[in-house]
Amino acid sequence: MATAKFQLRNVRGSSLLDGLSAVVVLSIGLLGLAGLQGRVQNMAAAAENGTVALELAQSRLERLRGIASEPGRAGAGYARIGNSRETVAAIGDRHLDTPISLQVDVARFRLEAGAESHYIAAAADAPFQVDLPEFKRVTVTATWTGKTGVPHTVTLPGIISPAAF
Amino acid sequence: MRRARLDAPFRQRGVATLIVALVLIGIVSALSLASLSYGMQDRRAIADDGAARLAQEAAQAGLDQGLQFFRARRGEIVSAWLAGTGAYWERCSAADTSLPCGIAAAAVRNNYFRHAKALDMRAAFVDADGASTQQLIAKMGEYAVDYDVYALLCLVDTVQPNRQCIGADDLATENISADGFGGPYAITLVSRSTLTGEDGKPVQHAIARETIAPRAHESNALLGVVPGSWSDAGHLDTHGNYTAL
Repeated sequence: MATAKFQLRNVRGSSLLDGLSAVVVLSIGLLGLAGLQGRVQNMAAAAENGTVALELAQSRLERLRGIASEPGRAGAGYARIGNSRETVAAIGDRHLDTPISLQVDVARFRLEAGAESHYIAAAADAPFQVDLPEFKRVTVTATWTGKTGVPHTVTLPGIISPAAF
Repeated sequence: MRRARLDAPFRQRGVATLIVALVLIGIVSALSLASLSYGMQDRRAIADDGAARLAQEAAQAGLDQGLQFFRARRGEIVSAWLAGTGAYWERCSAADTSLPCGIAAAAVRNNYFRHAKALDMRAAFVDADGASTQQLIAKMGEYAVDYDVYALLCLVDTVQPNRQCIGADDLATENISADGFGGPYAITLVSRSTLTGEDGKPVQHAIARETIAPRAHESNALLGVVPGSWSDAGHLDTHGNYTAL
């Protein structure tokens, strides 16, 4: 009888140990999954920041195109397009998770007249001539720092021509 | 016999705990995997949206470069390129639905001229090192960029506007004088871009079109974009046939 009681206690102890082992295993699994979820969330946040940065870069490029095609042929708007840099912390009322730096780099090209006429690099401050074809190669670079401290960059190049009408 | 009876509940309780634990693990794993899958799909959708935007910008870059190409060659477009042995323009056939002829309505397609191939713009542009280049833009974001620019010429029919452009019955290119076609003309540019990922596989395509024309009826006038002519609507099937959407 005494042996039987002892065995019953062992049985109950074994069941508790089983349960505890299961809890430990479950906890390890859950921790792993939680870590994975965290990584996915970080990746989603980075992707969202990337989308916002791309939208900002696109918006800037479109604004520059708009400036270049201002009515009139004097090229005043086009002439204003030059290198610039600014930091965007909010879009309208929406505060960004991380500020995004927008840098605009401009290279100017002008047609070199001749039998085999082609575009060559031109000085940024050379006077604008209405009837001489030229364009600006614009690169908008959006840079931001992710939650993990890693810098990210989106580069959007474009070609901007002065209005002809 | 006694041991056997005592062993039975031992096994049953253990199995029950194990099953409960396994079920819990299963439920939590399924929930986590579903959440993970949703997160990955969300991320992929964001990446696809970004690639589509970049492809559209690349197609726009092709249009912008095409405009500059024709500005640089404005003295030849409707003279040397239209008549003579070095003519680049050829009439579209009514059945040609490939780019660029496919963008014109079938009924008037034969009134348009096409540039036989995608524009070869190497002679007009140089890269940062001064070497001839077909594309001023070769990379966008993390993608390599390719764009082909096609051109469709219309010698505007001012007498019969419903025909849009002067047809072969009314104007043979041989009859164009050495000074070139003297009337108004317009060129529709079609740009098709392809974004390629780091693994070398195409990721995204886009098509954009716009019409350019001389700003005035002058022999050497600068060409500009006709307001309201821009469109990104169009689809190219695997055989290269264009369909407006």
